[in-house]
Amino acid sequence: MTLFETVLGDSDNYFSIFNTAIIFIYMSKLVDELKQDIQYQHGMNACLNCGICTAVCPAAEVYDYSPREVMNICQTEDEEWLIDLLKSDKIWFCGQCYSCKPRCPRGNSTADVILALRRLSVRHGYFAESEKGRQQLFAKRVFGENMLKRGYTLTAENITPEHFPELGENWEYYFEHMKEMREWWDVPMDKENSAGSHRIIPEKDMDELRKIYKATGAMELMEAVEKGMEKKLGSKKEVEKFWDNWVETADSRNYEMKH
Amino acid sequence: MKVTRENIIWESHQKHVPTIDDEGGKLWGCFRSCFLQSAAPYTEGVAYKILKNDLGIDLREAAGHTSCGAIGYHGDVTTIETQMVVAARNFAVAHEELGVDNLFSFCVTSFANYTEMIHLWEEEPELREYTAKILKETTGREFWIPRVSGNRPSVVHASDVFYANRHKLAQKAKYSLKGIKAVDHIGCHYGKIFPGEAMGGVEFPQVLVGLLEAFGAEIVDYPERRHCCGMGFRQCAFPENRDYTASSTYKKLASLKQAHPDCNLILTNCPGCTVFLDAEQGTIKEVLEEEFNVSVLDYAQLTGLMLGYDPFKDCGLNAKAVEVEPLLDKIGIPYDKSKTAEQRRRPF
Amino acid sequence: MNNNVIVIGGGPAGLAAAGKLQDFGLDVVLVEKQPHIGGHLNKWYKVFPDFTDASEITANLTAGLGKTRILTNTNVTSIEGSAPNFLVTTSTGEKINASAILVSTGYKHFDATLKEEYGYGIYDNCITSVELDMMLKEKNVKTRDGKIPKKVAMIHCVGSRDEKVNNNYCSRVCCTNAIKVAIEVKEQNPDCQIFCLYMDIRVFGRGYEELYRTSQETHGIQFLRGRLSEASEKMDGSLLLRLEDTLTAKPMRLSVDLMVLMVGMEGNSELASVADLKLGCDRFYATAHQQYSNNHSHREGIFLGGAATGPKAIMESITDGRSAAAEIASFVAKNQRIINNGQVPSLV
Ligand SMILES: Cc1cc2nc3c(=O)[nH]c(=O)nc-3n(C[C@H](O)[C@H](O)[C@H](O)COP(=O)(O)OP(=O)(O)OC[C@H]3O[C@@H](n4cnc5c(N)ncnc54)[C@H](O)[C@@H]3O)c2cc1C
Ligand code: SF4
Ligand code: SF4
Ligand code: SF4
Repeated sequence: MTLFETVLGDSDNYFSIFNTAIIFIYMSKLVDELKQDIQYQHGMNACLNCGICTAVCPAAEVYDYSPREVMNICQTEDEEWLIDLLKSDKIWFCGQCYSCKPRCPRGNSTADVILALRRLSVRHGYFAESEKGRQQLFAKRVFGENMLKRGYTLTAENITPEHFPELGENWEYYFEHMKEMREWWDVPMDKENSAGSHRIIPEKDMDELRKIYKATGAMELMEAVEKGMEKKLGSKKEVEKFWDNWVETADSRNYEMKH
Repeated sequence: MKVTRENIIWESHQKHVPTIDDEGGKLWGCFRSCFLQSAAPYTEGVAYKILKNDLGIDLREAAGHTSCGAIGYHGDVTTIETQMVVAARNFAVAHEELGVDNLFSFCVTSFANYTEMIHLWEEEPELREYTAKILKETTGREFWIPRVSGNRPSVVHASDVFYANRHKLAQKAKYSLKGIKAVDHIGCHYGKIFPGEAMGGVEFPQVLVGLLEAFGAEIVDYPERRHCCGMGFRQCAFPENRDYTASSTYKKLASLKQAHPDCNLILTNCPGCTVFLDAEQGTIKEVLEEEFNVSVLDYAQLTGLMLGYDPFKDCGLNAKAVEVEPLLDKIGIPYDKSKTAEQRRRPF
Repeated sequence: MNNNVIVIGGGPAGLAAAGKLQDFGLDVVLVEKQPHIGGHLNKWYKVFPDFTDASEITANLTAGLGKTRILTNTNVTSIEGSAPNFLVTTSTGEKINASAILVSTGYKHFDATLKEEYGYGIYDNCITSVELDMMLKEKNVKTRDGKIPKKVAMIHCVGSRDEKVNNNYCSRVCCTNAIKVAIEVKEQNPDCQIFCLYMDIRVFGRGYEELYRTSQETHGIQFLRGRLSEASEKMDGSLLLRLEDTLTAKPMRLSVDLMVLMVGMEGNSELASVADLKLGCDRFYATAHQQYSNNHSHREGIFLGGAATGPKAIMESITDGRSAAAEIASFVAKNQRIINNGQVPSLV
């Protein structure tokens, strides 16, 4: 008699086991989706719980965060824990420095696992449940939209003295005299049909780039951010309020969450 | 993405980056950095001058290159598939339109991103096929992989090219770092993702130390040398997260100060470290009233200074939180003392 | 067919085997490449679990060698023919007939410089367990500048259980050895605080767990569950260790005056091509079957014993050597019976 038959031998048990099995199959979708991700496959072998990663993780020094913990939650393949993780601030604490990668005795890379988790969190809208996750709207509208509009993740206009006060007064001066300063430095900006710093990339190349973004799922991922935020905040209008607040005050926490 | 023993012994980390005297070492294609062009554009300016004028390199770039998008990748708005095809497109443009075989990028995250994609194509033939197919469908371009280091599929970083030609640069130097204590801070993405692609490996990389030594500096070490600067993509990008950045910088500089109070020079190769290791010293000064006064220069700025380029107009030292003049005085680099510090920095 | 057996390697396994083989009436030639027999026992002071003097073990085994012919400073350069008629040539040019051969060439120490992040060979006060045993023997456990260390860390699993150095296996002896040396250091320097940085405590043999308990109860050795991530040197030569105390889930920094790397064992595959032996994926010699033919190699008439087939403690190596002797004696006896019966020996 197999173990399975032993358990099923009791007819009362039969249903509960059967139900559990169905629930398990239904529930295990997220874990399965995660395991489909090539970056997860490469980044997660098996974890020894040795702590080498957490020992050098800059995020672990600042936040209630531990790459080892992340690896462990993934390793359990427990659906509920995974969902909790995807809804939490934790996955957004990582600074993507990859300090955890070169020394892992099992060849894991939490940094890569984090990327897979974040994309999963965005796709399923869980990111909007956490404060740090909601910052994804800024990432999308800055890095993502910059790419689609200009072909760069960052542009000169993004580094405002308001958002980067630590760059100091000289930066304020530069920012006011951006075009002249760049010419003075011999790195003129916004030149057309020419190579160079902060140039205008020809439209035909931009078209190619946009096509790539569409064909490879980046657009979809970015749209999921807008949708997820809309769902969480209640309307498109609220999403704009959330955005405007950030642009003005440089702190998303000044937007009051309703729930 | 498995790292095995070969990658640990540093001799085997010697990348074969051609010098200007080697075959192919005078023709390079390059990728600009969106971080630099936004937060420190002068670096590429002086790097260009050095590579073209002092090393005589034929440096080519296309108007149609785009950013590799890796800030968006580590900032979670793109997929790995996107990164592969964008990388393949930039390679194809360089090869078809510029006729270059050797490529470097100015950003270490770009370098890591391109390297990651090349590794993926090597390890997963299906992804390579996918990339070639989507590239063709979306752009009509042909898939091509650069082979820079020892004819292996690879690209390198701009600092590798400086390192390869360091003795030539040192010969041309007008000033020397003799008697100057200095330490490197290697951008995490230069070595931590692919230790085998870092000159000298990840723990004791040679790329910046070699350059410093060529200019005569005395290299020091300090306990937190390998700690991340705290740039952290979304951590530095969004002000509300920037405690992360400031505290990492603080940790490093406090450790350096304790070990070598007389070391005032950190050499970097990553745009993020160059900007934030400096800028956060401003924050620390304001918040904790603690001053470190460590100048953070990148490989191009330092080489520019050594070769006699103007500290402000050429090397762009205008926008540093830490005043650079004490370091210039220490090295003996002249600058216009008839002007005030502000005048030197604000030409208009 | 002759009555000769050649034992290559005169460590505890080879010595134990040679003693038994000559007891069985065979003519034994022991080939040892070092000037002295004893193998790694010559490096050890007192051995776990009972602090027996290593020299006592060597003396005991040597006394049992009887009329074994010992060739020191000698290597085997070729093995011709096949069982039971081998012709063995040594580095001195001697040719010896043998009906069976035992390879008991032991192991090598992991080269700690490969774990660059620990700084062995770079930092003064980072030593290996092999060096510590020498210091203990001389009752001179000191830092490089001659001070008595106040804090010492024993670093477990160096070069073992680590994909990054291509050694995935556990070396089995280093946990117990760490505990043993911790006790000895404490006994020689009672004021010293000792930390063992471990992942799992693998003390499996008779008396080992008791040793572990004693180390905690009687000697106050501290056990921190976290693997060392990196070590860096402070100005005073002490070392800053970064690890996570995984039981409290907190990253921590620990300063110590001396750090001892528990270097693991690596297969000694020197004879792989001379004797045409196969290696396992751990690079120790492969046995014909892991369960029931663990002294047989894949070649008939060539036997294996001791740490040559994987990490073993001394007592296990001795037992394994004797077990190999029994296999060899039965192999020789069987072949002699066959010849006496006028049959041709089968060479499977
Ligand atoms: C740091 C450390 C501490 C240890 N402490 C203890 C302890 O306290 N207690 C304990 O029980 N165990 C201890 N051990 C384990 C112990 O050292 C081994 O169990 C034992 O040495 C194995 O014996 P062996 O004869 O198989 O190999 P070895 O001791 O390695 O002997 C092999 C012999 O073969 C010779 N040889 C090698 N190649 C050739 C060749 N090509 N031709 C001729 N000769 C050759 C070598 O010179 C050597 O004499 C320790 C191990 C380590 C790494
Ligand atoms: S370093 Fe690797 S094995 Fe160790 S805890 Fe981190 S992920 Fe797990
Ligand atoms: S990549 Fe993320 S998890 Fe890894 S060390 Fe850096 S911050 Fe920590
Ligand atoms: S015996 Fe202990 S120290 Fe040695 S490899 Fe095994 S677990 Fe690590």
